[in-house]
Amino acid sequence: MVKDKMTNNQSETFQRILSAREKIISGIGTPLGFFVLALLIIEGFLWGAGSAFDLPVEVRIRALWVGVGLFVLVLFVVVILVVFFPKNLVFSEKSHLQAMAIYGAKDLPISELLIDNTPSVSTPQQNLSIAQISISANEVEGGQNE
Amino acid sequence: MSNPSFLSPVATPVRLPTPCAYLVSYDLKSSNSFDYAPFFAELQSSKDWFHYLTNTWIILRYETLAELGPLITSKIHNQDRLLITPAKGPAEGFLPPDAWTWLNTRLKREW
Repeated sequence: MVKDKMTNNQSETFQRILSAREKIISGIGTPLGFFVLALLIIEGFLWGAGSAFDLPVEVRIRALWVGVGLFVLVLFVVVILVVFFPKNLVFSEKSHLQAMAIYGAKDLPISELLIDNTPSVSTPQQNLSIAQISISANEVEGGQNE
Repeated sequence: MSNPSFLSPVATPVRLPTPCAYLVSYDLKSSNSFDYAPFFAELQSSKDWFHYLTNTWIILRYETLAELGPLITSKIHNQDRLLITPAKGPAEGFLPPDAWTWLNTRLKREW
């Protein structure tokens, strides 16, 4: 009975680990997400090398330094990408749709970057409806007749 | 003896004498496994087009709505959403000045 309980607990834990793993993997939609996953893996390696695995002290210390080095390397790569190639970090599976579409008009096409930086203005006066224009004209005529 | 034209199995497309403005609005939900390049190419092949909002275009076409619908919907995935309606001016909103210039010169004021 006790053995069966332990087996059930182990299988439940294993199922939870699998579902958590699936959630983490499904959350990766951009290269930045992949780097986050890499850091999580390194963190797991550090935890394992530091306490979970039964390793001699010297091996543990070397493994920890390797883990720290990998962490710093990933951090350095991400910083370089953020500074010089930020769009490459957040390019997702739907970014190609924006990349394909050109903005503006046929005789004046503009890129996505330019349209994001173009200021907008509210409706110009010449967009008044015909009804409003005729009302204004009647008011002017009425005033002149008086 | 040649068949009279009304018995012709292939319907001849109706061309409008002047281009008509259509508002095309969509939600593209498919991943990058579907090629949307023909869809955007079809919109950009219009006599004139307006694209200042991410998922909305105004296109000037010589086709009727009945012809234009299948022409454009055949180029998107069946999980996407698409709406094509006639576009009429004047318009209200908040857009770049070039956009207002295009709308004021291309859209007929019909209301």
